[in-house]
Amino acid sequence: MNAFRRPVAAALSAVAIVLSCTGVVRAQASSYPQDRVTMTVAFAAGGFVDSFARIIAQELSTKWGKPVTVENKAGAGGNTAASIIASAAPDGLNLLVTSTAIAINETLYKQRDYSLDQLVPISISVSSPETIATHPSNPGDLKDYLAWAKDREITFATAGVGSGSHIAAEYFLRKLAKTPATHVPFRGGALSVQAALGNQVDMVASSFGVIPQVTEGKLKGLAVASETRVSAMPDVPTYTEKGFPFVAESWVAVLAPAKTPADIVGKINTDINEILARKDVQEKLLGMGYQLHKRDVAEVSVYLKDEVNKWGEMVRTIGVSVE
Amino acid sequence: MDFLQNLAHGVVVAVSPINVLLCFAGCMLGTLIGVLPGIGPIATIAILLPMTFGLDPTAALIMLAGIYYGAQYGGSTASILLNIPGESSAVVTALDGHEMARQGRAGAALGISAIGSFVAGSIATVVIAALASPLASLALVFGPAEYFALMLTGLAFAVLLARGSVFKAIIMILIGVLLSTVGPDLTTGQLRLTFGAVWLADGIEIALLGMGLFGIAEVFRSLEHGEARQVKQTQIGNLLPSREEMRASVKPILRGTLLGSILGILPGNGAVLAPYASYTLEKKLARQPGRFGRGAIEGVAGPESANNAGAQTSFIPLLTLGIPPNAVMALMVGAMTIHGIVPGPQIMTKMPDLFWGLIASMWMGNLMLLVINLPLVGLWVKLLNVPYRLMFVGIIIFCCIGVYSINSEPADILIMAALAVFGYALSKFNFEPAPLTLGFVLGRMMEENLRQALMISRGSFLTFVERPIAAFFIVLAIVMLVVGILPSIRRGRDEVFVD
Repeated sequence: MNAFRRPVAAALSAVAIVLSCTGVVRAQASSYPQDRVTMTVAFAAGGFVDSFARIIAQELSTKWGKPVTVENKAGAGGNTAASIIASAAPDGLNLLVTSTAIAINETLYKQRDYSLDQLVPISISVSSPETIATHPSNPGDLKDYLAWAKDREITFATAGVGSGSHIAAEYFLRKLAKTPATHVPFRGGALSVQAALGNQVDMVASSFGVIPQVTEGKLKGLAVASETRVSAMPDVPTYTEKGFPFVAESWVAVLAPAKTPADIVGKINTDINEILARKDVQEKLLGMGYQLHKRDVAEVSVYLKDEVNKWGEMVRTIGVSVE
Repeated sequence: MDFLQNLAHGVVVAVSPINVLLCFAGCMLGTLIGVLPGIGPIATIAILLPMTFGLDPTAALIMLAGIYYGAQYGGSTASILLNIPGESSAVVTALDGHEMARQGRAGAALGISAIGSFVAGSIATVVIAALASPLASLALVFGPAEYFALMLTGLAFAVLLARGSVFKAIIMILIGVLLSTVGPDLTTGQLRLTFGAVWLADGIEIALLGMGLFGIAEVFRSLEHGEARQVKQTQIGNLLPSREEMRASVKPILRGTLLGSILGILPGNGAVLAPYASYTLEKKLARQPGRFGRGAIEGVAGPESANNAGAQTSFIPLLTLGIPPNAVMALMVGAMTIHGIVPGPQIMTKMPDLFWGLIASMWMGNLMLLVINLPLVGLWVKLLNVPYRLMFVGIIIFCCIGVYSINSEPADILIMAALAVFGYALSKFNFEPAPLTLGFVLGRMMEENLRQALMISRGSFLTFVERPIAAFFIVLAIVMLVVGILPSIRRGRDEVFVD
């Protein structure tokens, strides 16, 4: 249904480009946005990235007094949406909402029809650490678990090949823990959690997806890959506490076409940070197990570069790639 | 006693004026979008999500759930009247439902599908209320090995029951399986059979298959025969199933409900098998299986009930485990998340208002859907009086809009057009598209579960023998096939998908 509005939006943004080129209208932060803003989500409706986009879109829409709509354009591990926004009009009306995939895919995919240089990061404010968990009938302490895993080549389930959970877990098991393991990919995080609930696999690697199961005792959390413990499951130790200094987090990023005026990028960043500073929004996100980070545009840019390098290193170490 | 108290509590929550209103709105909307081909519950729920922000979470979920099962009711309408199944479950309904419509019994087909859905929905709701937790833990016994064995049994049934054209049926199933392998390989992430085309990179949508192979191919066939192929208008007066038809449908409805309820509980989207299983079962049990595919009311009553029961019980993995069994349920998880509810095992204990209120609302919603749908039957049947030369234009336009709205991908319309030509060619050579759809639906799940099962067993095929449930289904599949090969029994065997 929202497909009908796309051509209209495209036409309007085309007009906007023409006008801005002729100097009649210059995109300016003070008057931004003058029209409907479209957030293109790189994944299917219903997931973490989508939920975040919808919460933010609703709040931004109230704040700006203009509609902010969410469109899902899943495909090619997030690359489809990224390439659409990479070549969209840089007027601040076209935003991309994606995940850690945008950093991982720089190394994982041999071919992409966009480059990260064509995009400018606006906000990376919520994250959830990669977590490993196991069925309660298995050893629940990371050290004990690894000792137990040594004699048997364990199986671990993830949301799919090349997902952050897969890369982080395989990197940890192979490089840091030196424990051989077989990766069992599923179509999406939920099914991988299900396999662990039924003790079909020895371990599940996921981010926020395992939190409700761990808090209810249906799964035992072995370790979280963040600096500090997650408030939603305070009993699960960090990797660092267990002697493996390892941080790998799944996050949500908002990006825009690279040539989008800096003042607009700054305004969106400020407005998102303001929304995330509100207590009701924070409670909602913290309750789901997300961690919040207040970063300005420069910090976001540095963080994204670091993440591209960090995930790139992990991807190369485990030797996975997609054509 | 606890159970009754909880249910009573749920009813109190559900009958508050605002919840009744929203439940009605959801059901009404669901019916409408279900009727329009291609515009499914996913797009609708995604668009409506922001509007529910201001609502209390229970009220929001009651409405969104209404859209989902309302769409299940509405989905059968387009497939019965126009042979346009928007999803795999409706493919089965179209087999006999559309045939009934062509014989002037559209009212009876629509009526029995509404009644069957209501009975199934009501029973399945009680199942959820009474047995949600024990059933959920039982469902966890199903791992990849069990799913693979179950799917294999599903395919074996289809082969067994395709008479005369066993060979053709197998070819169709294999083509369906082949089509399902287009897209990224699960275990390596590499693209398969896309020939470098970006628009094939994520595989083919089932809705394209339904609308192309059935809907538009049917338009071609009708145009070929001119107005003569049009639905008979003389018998339109009979809007509801006759007493005889009702009597014939009672047992299929109950059996379909049972099958759908069981398969819907499986978190791996086992519900997709339900209508196929029910159709096969009814045909096998029928005294004159030859009537199937020629407008047998049991072939509508059973699968429709199975489908709706499965739609209801697929809430069990969501509400008790936090695991969404299909894309619509994944969206419900998103809706809960946005409302600050963490889907998972704690919903039932920590949010009894939501859990029991939602369940009570489902029963209410099913009753509303019956009330909405029965009067609409007359309206839909009148729709058939529209001259076909006008109608086919509308069908094609709606199919194109529907297909485009799934991914905003123009190439999808071309794929649908190609499938339509293919579907027309199939009917010319007497191949049936229904086994192809089953192969397509099961193919990808079978492959993925097989590979996962073998990874978990470190490559040992013994896993299918050592795990009792998997072994049971494998033996069942083999027995079915062996029995099918014995000539004496082959004579008594019938076609499932031939019309």
